[in-house]
Amino acid sequence: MSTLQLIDVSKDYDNRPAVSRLTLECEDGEFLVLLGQSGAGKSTTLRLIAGIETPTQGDIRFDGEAVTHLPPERRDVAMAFESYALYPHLTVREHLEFPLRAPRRRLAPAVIAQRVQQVAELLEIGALLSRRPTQLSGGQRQRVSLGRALVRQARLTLLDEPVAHLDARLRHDLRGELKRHQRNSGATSIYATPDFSEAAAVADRIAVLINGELRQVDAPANVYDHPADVDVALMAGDLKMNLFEADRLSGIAPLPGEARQVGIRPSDIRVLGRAEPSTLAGKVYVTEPMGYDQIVRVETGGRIATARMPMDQERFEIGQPVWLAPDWRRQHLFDGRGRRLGTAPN
Amino acid sequence: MTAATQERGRTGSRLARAALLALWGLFAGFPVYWMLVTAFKQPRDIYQGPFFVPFLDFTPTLRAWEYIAGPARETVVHGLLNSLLFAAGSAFIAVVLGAFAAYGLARYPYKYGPYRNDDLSLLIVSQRIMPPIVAVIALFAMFRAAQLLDTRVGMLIAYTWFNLPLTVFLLTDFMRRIPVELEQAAALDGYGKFAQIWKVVLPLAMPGLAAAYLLSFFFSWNDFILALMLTFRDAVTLPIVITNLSAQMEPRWWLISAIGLIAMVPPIVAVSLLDRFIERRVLHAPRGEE
Amino acid sequence: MKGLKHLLIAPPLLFFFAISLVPLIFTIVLSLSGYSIGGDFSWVGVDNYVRLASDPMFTKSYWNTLLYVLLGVFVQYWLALGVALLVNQMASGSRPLRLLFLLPFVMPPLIVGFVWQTMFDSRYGPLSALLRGLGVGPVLWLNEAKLAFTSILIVDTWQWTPFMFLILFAGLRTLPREPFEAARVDGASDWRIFWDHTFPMLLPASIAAILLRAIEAFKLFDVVFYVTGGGPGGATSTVTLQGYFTALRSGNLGYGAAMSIVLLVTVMALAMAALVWLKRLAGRRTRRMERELQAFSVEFRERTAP
Repeated sequence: MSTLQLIDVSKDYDNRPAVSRLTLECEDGEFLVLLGQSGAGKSTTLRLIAGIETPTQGDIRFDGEAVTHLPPERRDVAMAFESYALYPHLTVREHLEFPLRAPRRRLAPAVIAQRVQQVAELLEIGALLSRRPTQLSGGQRQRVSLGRALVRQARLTLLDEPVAHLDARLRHDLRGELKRHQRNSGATSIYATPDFSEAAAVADRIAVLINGELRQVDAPANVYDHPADVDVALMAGDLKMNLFEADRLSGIAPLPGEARQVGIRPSDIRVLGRAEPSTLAGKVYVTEPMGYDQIVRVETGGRIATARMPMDQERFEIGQPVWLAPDWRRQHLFDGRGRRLGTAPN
Repeated sequence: MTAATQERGRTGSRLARAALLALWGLFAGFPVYWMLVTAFKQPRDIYQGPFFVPFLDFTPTLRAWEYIAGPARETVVHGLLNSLLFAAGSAFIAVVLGAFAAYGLARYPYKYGPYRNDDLSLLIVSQRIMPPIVAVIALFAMFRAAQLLDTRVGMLIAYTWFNLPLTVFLLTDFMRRIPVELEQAAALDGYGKFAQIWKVVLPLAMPGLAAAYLLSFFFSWNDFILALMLTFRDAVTLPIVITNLSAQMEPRWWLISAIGLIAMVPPIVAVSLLDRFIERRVLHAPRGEE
Repeated sequence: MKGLKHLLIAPPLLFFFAISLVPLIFTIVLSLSGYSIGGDFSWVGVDNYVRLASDPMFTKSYWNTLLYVLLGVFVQYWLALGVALLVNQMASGSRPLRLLFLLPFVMPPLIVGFVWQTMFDSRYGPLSALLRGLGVGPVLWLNEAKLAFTSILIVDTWQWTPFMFLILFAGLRTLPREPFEAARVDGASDWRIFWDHTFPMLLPASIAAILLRAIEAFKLFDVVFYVTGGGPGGATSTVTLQGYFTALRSGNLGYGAAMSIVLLVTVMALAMAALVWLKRLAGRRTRRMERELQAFSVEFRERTAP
């Protein structure tokens, strides 16, 4: 169990920065999620922490001790690779035993067997123990990779998109199990994913990475309600936030002078069949009834805005003229550089 | 085309295919058969025109073999042991050294002056293009000066040099195909560099190592010009023994055939022993199992 | 661990310098000298090379070598391709067949030479018996210039076709099935399928087989040494054979060295020409792929822009 500190860490590849000036602290027993799109630097960050790569600049500390130049085998870090990195010549059981058999650790065979059993049950791979990776499906391979990382009970566990290639049901179930497992064991864990809902479901805190920069580190609710800048705002939530130019909204909503962009979440917009004051005119582009909700995309001012409303309200036709009524109390204001000004008080 | 004519066409062409393959099989196999048969013939059966079938055309005899087990024994065994030593030994050394170099080339960035990894690979591999005669003439002079002519050590060095470009070439490609992430995973699992290579890299490279060994063995075993130039008595190999035996007006063909058969045994044994390592597909699933 | 990577690559590099580079330089120096065993070292500049140009034995050997390479590789390629295609179509049980076809390759070249010498013998060789049975008079395979050359080609083909067969067969095995099935469903004839699909897809393996074979073919020595000894009158001789006779039998190291250098230059010229041509071929392909990839990504971006 351990605390992690990244101090001003940067990593360049061929003079292109993959991550720049990351400063991050992870508490003992915390479940931290790295949120970011592909290429944002999640894997690079994890590899730096694991010791597979060395930073171009900066320090990495475990429990206050600098480990920046320590090779991976001495860091007591476990990692589940996004590409699984399974050993083609070992069976599933041997995979789970492999880390526990390393010369450094001296574990009794009984302990090894017990841990292997536990993890196999947790991940539902008990029936696969004598198979080799080539005989497993993609989802099974992913679980073996996870198992290899979890069986260690290392002081720091890194999970690189561990449920990405599983079907939706398994994904939901497994991430729930992972969170429980982490709570029980108290293992400090860092989890990378591009999916905000997944991050919000499991994280104690979310660290948002955009283009190699850390933009915000906060509890999921705060990232959602108070995104630090436009990019973070666009990442949070399963539907993208709508962004309007402040100029376009002058006269419709009261805005402070520094505001350049205004963001409204789709769930904070109502679509009306008739004009009302302080609304934006537009035409329905497409509707997506989803059973419990409906998503209405409206073409307005040359762009497409998205609104989410309950199904039992009005239905709309493609091409129908409509009016958008955002809830201005829940707007997000951003300045000329994309940074937030502060939400209007509720 | 109706299905019937298609079927007929297919059977017809299937027959034609089988016939062609049989023809080629005959072409490929007959000389071997001829040698097999000649090894069991009396000299007069050889000189009185070709006889093909044992027990029908001629009575087989063990005369050649008795000769080999008797008066010729020392010469033949001498050549055989040398050939075995050189082939098996140089192949082993070439594979080990080649594997090291291949690992280095696959994993580390080299830079000697303007030469980087690809240049170094090319340098090593291009030795194969050079006809041996170019080096052997100089080697002859060099070995003479270093008193390595006609020595076992000298021949081992020569054959290792001969095989190294091939092993480096084969194994670099193999090593590159092993994802470096596997070593990273092993590192995280707590294994140091040597342990990673021993437990992860080598088992996965086994088919390549076996193939490289086999090919090196073949090329050394079949070599003639190196042995011809660099040996004359102590370090002679089987091909040289055969040449000596046939340096007569009327060569003793039955004898040479018998030795020829002996000369074919070790390569065949080597292939059958190592084939199962090469067949094993560890890195990629064989077709039909995915 | 820092020094490790240098240690790893040191042995092959050492071998390269000691046994390839140094002897090469040595041989070049030798070729510029008139050194004979037991004689003195004397510079003769390019005299050896000039002599070579008007040396009938050498020129014959040189052209023979070229002919062996061109004719041999050509014939062996098509034969190997044919056999590979045939074997590929057999569903299973091709393993014993493959081993049979590999037999010639497993035989030491010297033994190959020996066996074929017995086969070609005009008195008691099986080939002559076959021809006699067909009513053709005694054929002196090894005693007439053109016939002897052909005999060597036959032996060479027998010995090396399996090598190309191996490479081409492996190449055939890795080809995906779908394009062929699609073509067959479309009703294409076997011939068409071969020319439009199989052959182009097999190009990398074909090039590899031809290149490797050609490089080996230049080194032709063992078989000629045994079967004809270079005769009759040098009709079957190769450069390597001439070099061997000159350097070790006659002891004229300088002259022999010059011969081997000429051979080396020829082979290197071929290899480099092939490399350049390959790079251009690969460059054309990658450039075409890049263009297609670019067009695709532009289209993709336009379609999915917010």
